[in-house]
Amino acid sequence: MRLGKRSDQDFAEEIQAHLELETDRLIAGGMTPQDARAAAERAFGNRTAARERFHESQVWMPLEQLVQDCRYAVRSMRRTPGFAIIATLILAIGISVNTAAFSFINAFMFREFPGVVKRDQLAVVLLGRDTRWGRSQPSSVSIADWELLQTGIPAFSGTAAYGMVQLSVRAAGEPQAVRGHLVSAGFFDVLGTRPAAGRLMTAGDDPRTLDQVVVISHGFWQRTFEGRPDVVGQVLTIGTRSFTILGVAPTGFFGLQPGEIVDPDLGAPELWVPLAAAPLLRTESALTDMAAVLEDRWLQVFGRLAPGATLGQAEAQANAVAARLATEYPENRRNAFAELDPGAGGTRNAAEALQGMLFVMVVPAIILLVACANLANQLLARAIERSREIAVRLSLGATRGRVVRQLLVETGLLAIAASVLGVLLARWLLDGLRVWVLAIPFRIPIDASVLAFTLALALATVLLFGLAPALRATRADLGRALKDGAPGSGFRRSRLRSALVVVQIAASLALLAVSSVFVRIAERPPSASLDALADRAMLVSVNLDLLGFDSTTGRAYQRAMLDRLGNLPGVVAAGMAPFAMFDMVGEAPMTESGRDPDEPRYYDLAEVSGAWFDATNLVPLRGRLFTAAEQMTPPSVAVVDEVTAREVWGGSDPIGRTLRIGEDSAATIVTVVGVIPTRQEAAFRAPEGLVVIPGTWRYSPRSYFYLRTSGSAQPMLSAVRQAAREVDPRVPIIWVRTLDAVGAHAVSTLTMLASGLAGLGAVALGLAALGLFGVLSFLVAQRRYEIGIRAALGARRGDVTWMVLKQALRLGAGGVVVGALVAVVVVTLLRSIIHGLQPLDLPMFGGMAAIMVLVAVLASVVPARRAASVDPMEALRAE
Amino acid sequence: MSTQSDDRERLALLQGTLDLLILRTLLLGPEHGQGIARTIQQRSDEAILVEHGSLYPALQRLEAQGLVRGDWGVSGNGRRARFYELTARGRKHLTAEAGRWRAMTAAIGRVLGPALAEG
Repeated sequence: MRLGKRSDQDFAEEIQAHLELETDRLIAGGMTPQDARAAAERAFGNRTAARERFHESQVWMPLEQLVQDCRYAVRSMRRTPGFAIIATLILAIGISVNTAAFSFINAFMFREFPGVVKRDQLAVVLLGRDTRWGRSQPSSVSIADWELLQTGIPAFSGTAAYGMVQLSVRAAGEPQAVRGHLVSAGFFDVLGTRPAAGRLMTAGDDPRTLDQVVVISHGFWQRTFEGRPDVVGQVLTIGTRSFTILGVAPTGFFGLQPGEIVDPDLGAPELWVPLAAAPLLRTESALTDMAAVLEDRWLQVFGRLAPGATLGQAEAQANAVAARLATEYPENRRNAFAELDPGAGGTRNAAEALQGMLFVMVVPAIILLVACANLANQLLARAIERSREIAVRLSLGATRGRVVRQLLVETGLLAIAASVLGVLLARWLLDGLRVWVLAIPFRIPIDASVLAFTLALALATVLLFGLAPALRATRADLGRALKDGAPGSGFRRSRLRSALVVVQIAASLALLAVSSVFVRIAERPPSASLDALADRAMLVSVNLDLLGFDSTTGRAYQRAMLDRLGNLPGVVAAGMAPFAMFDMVGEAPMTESGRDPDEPRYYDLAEVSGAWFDATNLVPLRGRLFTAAEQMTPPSVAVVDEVTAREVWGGSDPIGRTLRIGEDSAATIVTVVGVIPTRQEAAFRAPEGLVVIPGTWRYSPRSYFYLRTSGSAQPMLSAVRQAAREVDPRVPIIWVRTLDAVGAHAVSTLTMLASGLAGLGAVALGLAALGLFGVLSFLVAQRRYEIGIRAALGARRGDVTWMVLKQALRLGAGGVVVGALVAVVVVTLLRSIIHGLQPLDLPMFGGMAAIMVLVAVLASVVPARRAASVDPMEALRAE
Repeated sequence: MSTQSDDRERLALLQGTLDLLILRTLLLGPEHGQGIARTIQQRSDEAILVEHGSLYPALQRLEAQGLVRGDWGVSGNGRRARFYELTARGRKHLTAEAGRWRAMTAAIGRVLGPALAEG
């Protein structure tokens, strides 16, 4: 602290010496000692000012005052440790939720991805087309596009491509289905990735060996090979082929698409296989028909800008490639254009990133707001308890600014303590999230920018919850406060405090109400027919891709599966479709007869085999289902759902009408024979209409077998899996799940969201209850005098209790009304964004409002009893 | 807090001259604060009245700048007092500042001119 060597004491002595010398001189000049002393003092002027100036010259004042303020703050906290602890906890909860949310955003938007060097130099190349309806949304490319793009952009120091594949891998024991990326040889070079073991493939590798090597993820290495270093050189069977393990990717490496790994259905990639092996591992990649190859747009292309090159140059060069593509493939690439997406972060631009960020941060921000409102309230109460102390300080000449600063330092200390705790809680929250909810292959870091965010948040909260009470406290009328005039003091009707309580109750009620809407959609059975199945249905997921099946052998396998599974004891019906229940089915263009085929409608097309209708318990409303003969021949009939029937044919009977499905030469014409009820999708999608045709039109290597069982499906899962394995041991059974589990899986994100919201709502409710308790206790303390008079004038205990209760009810009701309005607005907004959300359930909302009021009453019990037990004599004497 | 800024303004006006006068006084030999004030007053024929209260912060500042050195000693009439003496740096500073001061007053005199001086 001290800059100079002299003490204040030493300086004071010097002044003293001066005064004595001067007095001596004046006495020598003939003055009386008293006059001399007085004259010396006069000539000196303001002694205190001189000493203050000396003191200030010795220290750096702002720091000195800050240290003083801190010391004072610690002292005053120590006097009320209960408040300090509760306040710190409340704020820590708010800060931790926000810190965790921001860490998440930070990891995927701002930080470098694991194993990727300088992501800001990377740009993704997308191809789109100008059509007569405008520009199409640019998207990923086909292998034919990649061949030209690969060398066509010299502004990139390196260009690479990758595409996602589902692979079945056999290292030891049963085959497992894992996600992998097929990557161009230079993929890791362009990303700048360094291996954790062995080596990674590079552009310099012998192209003849590239279809025989694989790089495995760090996680796969640990799980399947226990991290043994001799893994390099071992052989892995992928599909039906053998691949030599070249090396291990670094910890947490997932490539460039965080969107894939935060999706619980996908997860992080585990294997990287050179693109050269694509024809062995992807059925579509074995196609030779050029039009089909061009429409198979499964590759993401990206490059790293060469030093000195600009994005504009790269984009111009990419567009030159697009123009070449347009001349080369006039049918499929007419008017093609290229677009570059800089940053390669999966988010297309800053505005989108910001939007996503806002969405993620809304709920945490609400929690923090509630926490701040709560603290502001408690601080107001404290400020009022301390109004006398503050008034004394003000009247002794402290400026208002100084006192406000002192109070802000107190709240600042709280905020710092809460931030430290909040960061620890956030760490714990993030690890929990990673382990239990999302398969993120790396630990989400809390780094300097997260800490900076937390610090900024803490400072913001100090201003948010500390400034108003501090200003309020120092505005007090000095005279009145010094007299400690509790009756009629300016704070008795603390509108601000009541408003803060109302805000808290309202925010927590709104959070609970919104979470209840999500809970309801997560719990709702997707349709009446499925509901009637109860737990007597299951699904088996199988993918024949890359296992060497063609459409003939594939169909033979699928028929064998249907046969085998359908004949298992306890299985009533077995059907097959290329989609899992509740998943998106896939649209196809359709035109009813007599309409312009250039303007097709798009409906979901389900191509089903076996007893699919039976297995899913779908019964026709009108008409009939498919006959056995219709299921064996190319599709000539269709069953439509009510939505399609209504939209296409209005009120008239759809049965007997014809539909043209597909485009151009690939189209097929079917006659409607029946109408089924509309599915209520569990996913956030409007029922868009469903058309079901026999599964003899197109072959899909991906198939889901639907089994309806006579009893509970759960005990049969392992028997079914065993039977399915026996049909062909080469084929990995991806999963076998009861229909309930499939449904739960489909809404797992939703369930997570709902329970997260409900949890946060409960936290907010707890905070609100504490806040209400605080405000009522305070009001009772403030009104002691008044209550004393009332008691002295004959008010009964019940009257006094009722008075406090009434206050609680008023605040609770206020919060419920505001909360209801907010909830209605938020739910209405959400319903316009997310399809399938139900409006607020009134009885449920009523129940929650009742709980709020109950909480309000409970929070008033202790203060009311305290009020009722006020002894009139004592209360009046205290004044 | 609000008075502090006023103080600083006043100081800024006085600073240069008061510092210069103090240093010049100390050229005669070590002296304590009261002695410095008295000497300035006498030498200026009582035209300059040094406010004693502002003298000590000025001395403190000069000491912090290393222009003077202060130490406790005993005064002529047997009182304990803090004596100040010029350092080598202070001497150099005084020479430079005094030269600049003379040049400045001469220049100001030239600007004001004889006519005004007569009038």
